[in-house]
Amino acid sequence: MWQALDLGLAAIAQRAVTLGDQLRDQLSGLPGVSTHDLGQTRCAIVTAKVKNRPAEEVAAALGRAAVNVSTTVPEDNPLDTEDRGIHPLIRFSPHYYNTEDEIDHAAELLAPRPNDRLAEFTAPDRPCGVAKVLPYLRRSTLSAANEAGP
Amino acid sequence: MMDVDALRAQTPGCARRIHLNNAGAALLAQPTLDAMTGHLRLEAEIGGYEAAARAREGIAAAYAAIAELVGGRSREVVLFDNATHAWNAAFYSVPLGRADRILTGRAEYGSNVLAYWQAAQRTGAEVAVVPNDRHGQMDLAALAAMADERTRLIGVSHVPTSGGLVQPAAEIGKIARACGALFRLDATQSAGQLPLDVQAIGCDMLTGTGRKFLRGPRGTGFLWVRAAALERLDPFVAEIGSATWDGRQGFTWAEGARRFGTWEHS
Repeated sequence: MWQALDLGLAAIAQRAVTLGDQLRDQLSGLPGVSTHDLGQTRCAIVTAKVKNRPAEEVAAALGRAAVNVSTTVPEDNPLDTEDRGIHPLIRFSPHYYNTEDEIDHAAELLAPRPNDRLAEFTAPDRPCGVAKVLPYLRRSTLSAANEAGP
Repeated sequence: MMDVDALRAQTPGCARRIHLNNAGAALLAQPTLDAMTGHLRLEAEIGGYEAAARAREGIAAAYAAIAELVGGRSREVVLFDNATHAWNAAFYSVPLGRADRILTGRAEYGSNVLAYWQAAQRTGAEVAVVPNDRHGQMDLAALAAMADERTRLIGVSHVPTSGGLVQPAAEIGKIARACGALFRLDATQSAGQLPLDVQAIGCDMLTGTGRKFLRGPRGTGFLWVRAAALERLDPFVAEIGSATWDGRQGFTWAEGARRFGTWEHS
């Protein structure tokens, strides 16, 4: 509280919203990733979806990589859910104490791997579709798929 | 210019995690952590009431700080144990009847929407949802057309929990003033993230939480109520923190926004 007043809300907003914009731009530039924020004026909250991957799964994978995010909940947004039917989304919300490098790193984790181009042609419900998301998610999911194998 | 390195050095969590969940709960700064744990320790050492007495000045300063944060006055502020209770204290104090209407938006928070339905069931008031415009924010032309003399309350989540939208609060405030409705702004996600100015926004009630962008501890919330709106509200709980017995069978409300609070607090 006092910290916020000392720093000044204009300076806080300037930095937090800029980091949000950076993340939104980076995420929406990634193949297979879309962002879903509405309105003419945006803030530091950024919502995104990775094609064919449940938001909770991506959020959990980011958590395992020490990146804290949350997911939106349909019941928290009943009228918006009625309109868009889009929740849960992955919700990123940086603040002034985050760095540009942290934003880069978080976005990079959602980038498709260069050797995973085949994933584009994979049926959505196949485990190897996961390869688009995160290297460690790919490992864990593939090993889970192997365990479930023959 | 903000010294981000110094601010990070004061934030223990920055060394361990990339924390992009400030809309959930932000990382505490070391001075906040010290103040909280110091007070808990003091309570353990000398007793809770005794520790509260020693912290009296700091607690009074919190009211002034919130007033400064929103651009209001200390006596228009009351503290709560979370933003939902603050919101409830504001909402359930709005007198509603069959002839009244509540207007809200498509991006309204789920708990608020449920409270509107409950109020409609209890009082017969009508709840109308203002459509979005093509940008996905509240359609101001539609709001202006729907806001009439029946409109008792316009309730809006400033920044929804569902994404990066910022509702055009000041424009909504102008429409609320024009139709004479009370305007309640839920600033849970905007307090501590964006500048707030209740005079420019033109709201009558504003609620917020400590744990999100304000970087306070969980279990803290606040309500600001415009002094001029007090006489249009009927506080929903009379208790020793919010009212004083008149010695007969009546009572008087506490000064300012304290009439919406409770004596027991965290």
